[in-house]
Amino acid sequence: MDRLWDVLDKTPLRIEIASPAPGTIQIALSGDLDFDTAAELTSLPVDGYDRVDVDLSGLAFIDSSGLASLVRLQQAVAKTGAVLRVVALTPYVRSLMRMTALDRLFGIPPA
Amino acid sequence: METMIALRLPRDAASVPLIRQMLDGTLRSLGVDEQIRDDIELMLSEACSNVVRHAQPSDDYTVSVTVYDDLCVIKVIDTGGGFDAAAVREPSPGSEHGRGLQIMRALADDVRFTNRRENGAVVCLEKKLRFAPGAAGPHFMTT
Repeated sequence: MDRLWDVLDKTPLRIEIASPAPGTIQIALSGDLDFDTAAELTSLPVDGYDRVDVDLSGLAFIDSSGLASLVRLQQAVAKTGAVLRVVALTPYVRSLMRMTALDRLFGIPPA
Repeated sequence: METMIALRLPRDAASVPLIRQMLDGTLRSLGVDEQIRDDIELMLSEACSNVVRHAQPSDDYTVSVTVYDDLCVIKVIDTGGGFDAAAVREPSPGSEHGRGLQIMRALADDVRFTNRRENGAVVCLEKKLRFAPGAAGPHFMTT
């Protein structure tokens, strides 16, 4: 029998990766970055870039597990000597970053 | 008048988006303001994620949601060992963990953690509701 949530219309996490210029990688996330999906972010290939730009403007939902996965990504990027910046985000994600003081960790664009 | 839903869920990560989506649908049909629904979705997800992550050895847990007039009371109940919320420290900017409690405390109007000896733990979250103009909810509540 199908599990109940298999038939529900849950928003998956989508990860789109582009490299618009040498040394730069753009990661655009959309859907739900939550307890259920956060692990999908850990296996991204961020080695070998100077700049990692993360676009969060398509996220429908994020929770503390999702925020933790972004912190881990930031740490992985910093370890390679590169810089991770959040280049776009929704007002809700911005207020959540402020609430958890993560706006000090990520360079986020002005409102 | 009050309205209540209660669900027993498996202690499984996939249960969290399920209950989040069901509650959001219910509150939307009552006409609860979107900002309030977003806050409730997030605080509920944090409480449920904690249970799925930590409430060993429970196989399942229960979420009950009661709306009393314009107050929404959410209880997340497990049969695990409970934990001491006072012992969880504020996270530093670079730390990965500890933000769930911070988020629940910021978004809920009231948060209470109760450890019941041999009966697991209860997280009780309260949120004052606001309704969109012309919403169905207030009519149900006053008849």
